[in-house]
Amino acid sequence: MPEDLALTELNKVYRRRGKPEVHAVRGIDLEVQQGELLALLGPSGCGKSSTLRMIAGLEEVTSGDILIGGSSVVDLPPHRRNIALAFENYALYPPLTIEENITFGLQARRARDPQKRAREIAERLGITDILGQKPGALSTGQKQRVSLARALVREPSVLLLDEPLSHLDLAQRDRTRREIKRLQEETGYTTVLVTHDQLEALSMADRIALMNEGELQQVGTPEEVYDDPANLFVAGFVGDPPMNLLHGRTRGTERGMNVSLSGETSLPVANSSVSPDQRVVVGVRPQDIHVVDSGGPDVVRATVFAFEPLQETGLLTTTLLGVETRIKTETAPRARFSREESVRLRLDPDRIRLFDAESGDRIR
Amino acid sequence: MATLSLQGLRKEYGDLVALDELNLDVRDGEFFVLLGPSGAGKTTTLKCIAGLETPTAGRVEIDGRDVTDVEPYDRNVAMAFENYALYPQKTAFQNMSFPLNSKRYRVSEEEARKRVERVAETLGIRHLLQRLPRELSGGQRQRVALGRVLVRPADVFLLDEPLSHLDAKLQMQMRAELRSLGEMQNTTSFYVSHDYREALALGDRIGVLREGRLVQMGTGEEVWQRPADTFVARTFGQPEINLVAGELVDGPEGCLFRSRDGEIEVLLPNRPAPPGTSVELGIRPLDLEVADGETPPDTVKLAGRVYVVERLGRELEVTVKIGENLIAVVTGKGSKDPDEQVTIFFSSSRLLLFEAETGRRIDLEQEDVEAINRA
Repeated sequence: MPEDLALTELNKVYRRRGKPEVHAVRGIDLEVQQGELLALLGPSGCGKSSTLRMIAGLEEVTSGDILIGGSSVVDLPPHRRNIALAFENYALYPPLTIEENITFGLQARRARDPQKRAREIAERLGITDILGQKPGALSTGQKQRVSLARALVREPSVLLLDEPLSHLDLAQRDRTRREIKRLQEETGYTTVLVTHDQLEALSMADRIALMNEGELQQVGTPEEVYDDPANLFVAGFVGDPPMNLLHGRTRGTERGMNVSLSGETSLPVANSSVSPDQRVVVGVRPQDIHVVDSGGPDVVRATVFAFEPLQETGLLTTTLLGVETRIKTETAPRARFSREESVRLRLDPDRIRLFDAESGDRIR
Repeated sequence: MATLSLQGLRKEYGDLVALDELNLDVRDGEFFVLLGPSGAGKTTTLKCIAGLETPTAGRVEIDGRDVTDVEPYDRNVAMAFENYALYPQKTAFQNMSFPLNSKRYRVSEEEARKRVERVAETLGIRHLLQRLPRELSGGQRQRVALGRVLVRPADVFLLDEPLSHLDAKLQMQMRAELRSLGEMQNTTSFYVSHDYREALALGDRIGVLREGRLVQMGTGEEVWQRPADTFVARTFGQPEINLVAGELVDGPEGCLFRSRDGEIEVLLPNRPAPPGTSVELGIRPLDLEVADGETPPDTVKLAGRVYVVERLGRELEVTVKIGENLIAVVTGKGSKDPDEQVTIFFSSSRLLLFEAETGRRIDLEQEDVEAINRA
């Protein structure tokens, strides 16, 4: 039976003799609704895996609490938490067949027809043909999917997935991602997915909790994290190609507030909470910049540095007048640009995000 | 400046045929990318060009001169490996300027410094020039190794996945830098990659290698729009092209594609092959759209149920289930719910057709000549 999961004031400090203390997880407060898929996203070393391991009971909690279905589980051993875990480093029983590995322990739980369920999941993950084999002969990608199947056939209160797609090639990854998401929706398992891959988090999660240096940076739907980043870290981490980030300074003019990016380039800002002469960072995504034919208040001049005809899209790299940082613009796939060509770019004013250069926080 | 030509290149390792009859010509000053999965024979090809491997058969010509039996040093090629080897006791600057100290490439100290600094600037490592390799990250070391290749004049640059150790963001940035580097623009370059985006971004032309054989050679637009077979079609594009297995049948209005489960039928512009031919229908996720009420005229429409919805940045990837087939659609329109009934559509001009047995693309503009002759 799926349950909700709550983390309150969760901390993890690693203390090893002769080594400096590492405060890996810093006061995490997080709720995962029943049936929700939450992605814990962040770069390596951000504390996401430590958090997952504490939920699973593989690491002790330094302080704070973990509640499953409203009851604290921090004093329970892993096997009594009713959690299923698919590892990045799958541990399979070598003497058992793949099918036995997947269904292992299910009889004991009086699950309904485990073989049938195992076969259905195996088919959807594309591993039917190896059900009779032993783990030794499998590729890493296959082992990873077996580990995933084993977690999915259980009927856990909380399902934990630790980088479940990391060893798969591109095509397998697409297929497996799609099937995990569909299976999760069908079963309604409360799921925590740990990943460093922002695209994986965007595509699979109902909500994303983005971590850096042990702290939560933002918790929100994929749309919120993508279009409404809370700070510079989130803005730079989510999105491929990443958001363009340009340093500038605000300036009051008779026609309203401007951000001056260089002596020659400035942009109007429709943001009432900035003060004049404030150091800010302007963030705008490549698909929100458009090559236009004529000038205007939101239009800036730029020189083409490189154009990449990626067929799915075109990727234009330019330099704005007097600005050192290059910016990327998505264009129509069949566009043509030559180096050193002058172009006009319109930065969609509704899509421009402003950040305080000192704190990195979003200016709303 | 030079041309590069591989003629009937073959390389065997015992019973294993690593390269099989490779023929290709790289033009003077061209940036050529050899693209393929690991194990396809890319690095072997590169080593044969550099002279680090002796081909079992065939020849390598640089600027019209047969160099198959010429020592590596005398081929005047510069090669950057995926696994860089830097002198550990020399700084990044000394490593990069090292080739310029040799008798052959000797330039003035001033000129050497200028060249190293310009290349280092482009590669974003100018501030690291005084560091030793052990004080650099893997990605930085890789850039030093690449820089060492680019500073010295050569007829041909040979580059083996030189960006592979960089993180995704740096890779993307370096891609744009590399292409605009003066040295690169004036020197014939042969670049090996497994990343289709890198190939499209950098290559004047791309050769697609599979199991030691060249499957297709062409510009990015050519391999994208007219892939030689399903392998090439699947190599380019993310999410991958949709391929639906089925056969050709005769209908009242003309030749139809019918999926194996009978749930998808598409009227083809002509009859490209005899009825009963087993084929695969290909359509890219970007060329499909989810209908919002009216669909434009002259499009192919298919009805199905939403299987799963995933976000890709601002756009959505909607997977639609039609019978037993899962079709991925990339759309900028609003979200759909799982199991919702939807219609998807595409322009028949975007459709690709492949022969099931060989995987080869069937040209839809060409009528079934055999059938016409018979009639």
